[in-house]
Amino acid sequence: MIKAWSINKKLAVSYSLLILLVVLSILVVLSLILSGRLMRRAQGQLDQKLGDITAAIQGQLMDVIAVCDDVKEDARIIRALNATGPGERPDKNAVPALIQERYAASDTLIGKLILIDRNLEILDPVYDRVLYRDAILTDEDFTEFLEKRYGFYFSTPGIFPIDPEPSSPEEDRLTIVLYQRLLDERYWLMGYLLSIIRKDLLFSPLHEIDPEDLFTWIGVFNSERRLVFTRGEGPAPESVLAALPGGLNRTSGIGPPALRERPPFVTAIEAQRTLVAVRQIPRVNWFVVGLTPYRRAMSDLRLAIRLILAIGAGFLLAGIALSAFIARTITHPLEEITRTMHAYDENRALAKIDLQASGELAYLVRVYNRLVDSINESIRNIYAEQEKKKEAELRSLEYELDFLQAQINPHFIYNTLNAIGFQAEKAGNDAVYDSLKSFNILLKAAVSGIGELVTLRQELSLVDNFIRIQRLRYGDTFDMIREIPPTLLDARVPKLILQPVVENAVFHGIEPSGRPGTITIRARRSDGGLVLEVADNGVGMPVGMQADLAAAATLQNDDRRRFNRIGLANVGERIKILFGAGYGLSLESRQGEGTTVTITLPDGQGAVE
Amino acid sequence: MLLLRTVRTRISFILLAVALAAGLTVVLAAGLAGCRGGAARERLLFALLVNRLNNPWTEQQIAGFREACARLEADVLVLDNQMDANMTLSNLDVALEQGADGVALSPPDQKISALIVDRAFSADIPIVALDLRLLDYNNRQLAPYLGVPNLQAGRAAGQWLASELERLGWLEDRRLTVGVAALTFDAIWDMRLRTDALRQSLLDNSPALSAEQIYPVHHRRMDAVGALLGMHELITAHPEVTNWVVYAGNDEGVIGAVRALEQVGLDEKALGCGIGYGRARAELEGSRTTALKATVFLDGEEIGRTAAEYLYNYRVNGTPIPAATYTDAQVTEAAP
Repeated sequence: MIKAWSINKKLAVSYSLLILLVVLSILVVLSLILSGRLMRRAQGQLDQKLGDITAAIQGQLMDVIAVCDDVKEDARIIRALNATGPGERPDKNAVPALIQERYAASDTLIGKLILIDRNLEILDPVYDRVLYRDAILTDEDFTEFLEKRYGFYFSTPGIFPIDPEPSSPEEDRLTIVLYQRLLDERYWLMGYLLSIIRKDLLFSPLHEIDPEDLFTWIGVFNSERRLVFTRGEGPAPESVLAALPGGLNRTSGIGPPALRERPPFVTAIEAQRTLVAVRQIPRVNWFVVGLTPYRRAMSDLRLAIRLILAIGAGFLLAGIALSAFIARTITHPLEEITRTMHAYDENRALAKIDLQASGELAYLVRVYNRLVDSINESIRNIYAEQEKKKEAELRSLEYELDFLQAQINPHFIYNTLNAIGFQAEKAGNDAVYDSLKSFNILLKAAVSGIGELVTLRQELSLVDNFIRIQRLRYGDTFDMIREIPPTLLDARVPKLILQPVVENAVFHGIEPSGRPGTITIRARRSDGGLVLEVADNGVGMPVGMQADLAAAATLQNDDRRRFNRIGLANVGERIKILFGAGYGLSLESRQGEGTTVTITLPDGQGAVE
Repeated sequence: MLLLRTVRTRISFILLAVALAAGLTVVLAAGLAGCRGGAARERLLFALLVNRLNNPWTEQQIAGFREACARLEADVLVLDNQMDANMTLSNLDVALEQGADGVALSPPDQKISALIVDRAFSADIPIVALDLRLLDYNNRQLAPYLGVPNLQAGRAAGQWLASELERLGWLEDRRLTVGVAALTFDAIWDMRLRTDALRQSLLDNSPALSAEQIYPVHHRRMDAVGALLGMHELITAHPEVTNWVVYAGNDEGVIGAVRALEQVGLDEKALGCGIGYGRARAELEGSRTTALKATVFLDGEEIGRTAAEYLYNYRVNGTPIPAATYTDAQVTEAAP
């Protein structure tokens, strides 16, 4: 199908595809670049925010832990804790007041401080009640704290002093209890300090997180991998732990679990790609985990891609229009040429292309038009040649007709004259008979072919016949003298070459003089050629007429006809036609003295076959 | 374009145009991407200075404030006063430096009212006090106030408790010893107004109840843990009380007290009523049956939302902010 498309469409589609390819390439490259940068940026933001939160929580935890240091250095509290001898029962009413006075009032994070001596006597009149005492001393967290001999230990969230049912809602778990051992300077156990921590206040930094903005879910896991605080909607804590490197692994015995802190990373949690940030609170071995859906982290990328697609689509449309326009400018001249060729193919009309083209196309058009001009010129020339040929043929036919007619007339005249001569001979008029006989000989010679070569003797015989006829008119008013070597009598000369010259001498030389004259015919060899001279002593010619005769050979037909009366032009032209420009006729005349006509011919022995 | 002379030049031109288009695309994309982060802020910025970020009542106000600002296409700056007067003044300075176009704040202490108002007015920005009025030394109000109808809420709660006590007949039953745990926080004027009104209303509407039966529990920080611990002390101090009636100026107080009653098994003979933002209401609407039986709901989101709208309308339309605006105070009871 594409093969059938026009160049215009091909160009437009090609460039559109090119632009599309470029746009897609840019899209891919920008996506790769932006996704990397956005991911790093998102990771950096999450990591930094989580770091801030972790630092704040850690700071609060450290503040709570530090209270223990103050308490165990308080002399009155030490006295109360150590008053375990007979009669030295501590004043349970005095201790809380002492603590309240000194610590709790200054630390809002801790809701209450409770002292327990080394004999597990609760030094608080409220919580020393059986109901509370049993709950506190049998609490699982406190038991574990005692058994494992931790220096300090944070309970799981509950409600001090009596933990709710495990199924109770998370929001009911208001407190976290920090259990700490109180050791004297000799590291002997003095007792225990229970800090009742306001859970919401401890994790207040997490309240600053807008779930719609940064983390969709954030959770705090304690060292036992129990979730102690969470904010936002998210997956189950077990799913989160399973996705963390070493999240579910716990080292046996004492020591930190294997959960590692690492930069934010992308992983699948409950089949959803999630960006996970993990931060450790080192002193207490807690972990703060923040989650953000990958799609949200990449929302800027999607926006950028949509932007690029929109711009790319715009450029694509503009590119298609531009491609179509430019393809049109490129292919329009070609289409014009194609149309011209098509017109030639259809009508054989070879027309020139009238097109405002440029560059190579302008050159093509220019050369094409020149070619058309050349072909048209050639066609015109052919037509002209054909016309000339036709004309020449017509003229040739006319000449042939004339020639035939000319053949008919002399034969008719010849036969007629023979009949007349026969009557003259029968009547005894010998003079007329002789004249007619001579005339017939001349006429026969003239009719039989001007171009034939005859011997000089034959030519002289024709001259004699002519003279015999002229004697009838002029009588003996002129003499004929021949000065011809006998060796030249057989030389070949064109027929009737001397007769016109002699005729000219009689009519234009001797006769106008009004006196008797002599006509001399000479023949000689000269430079390998044959020279014939006809000289008369008549009136001669004026200078202008000589020049005219000399130029007669170069004159056109009409001009030459003017000189036919003297016959010289005809003779000269026949010689040049027969033998070339090196031969011909020359004339020398002096007015009042006579004229000599010199005929130059090639050697009559072999010059002409 | 048509001046280009050769086919090769035209094709080169197209390729150049494509390259330019591509380059332009990149530049536009990069520019637009950059503009997203670097564009100068033209939206309004409203600051909300709260007393405690982690306080649920405050969270409601923040949520309402954010929601309204998002709807009005304004930016939000939330700062935590941490119940500290100096921090409040410092936060106000921060908000002004950030170019806030209006400030809504919950003052931790009315003693700094004049300082707050002076700074805000010097910066020529509107200010709205939330929860606590900004008053001078003559108790004259210095700035618009948006809050809850404390007296009305207290009276409503007191009346409800009185009617409930009458219905239950505890006061008339000589086998029972009724004690009223009044979780108060007198340092905050609004809280005191509520609890005082509640106490007076309860006494007025319960002739059989004497003032001696009302035991104040001063719970610091107005939180559930403080109420919990305080209630345990009260329970320990009055073991003779068989039936506890608990009320508080806020939901956390009554919830902490109810939790304490549950821990010691006294919740079935207890009656709790709170005044608050909805945490108690959420518990009432839950499936669990607790000693919490009613609360006067105060819509914190409505306060935050209204504060943002007031500031916006003042800034954009010049609409004056009303001197005092109160949210509704209706009693919500537990499902029977």
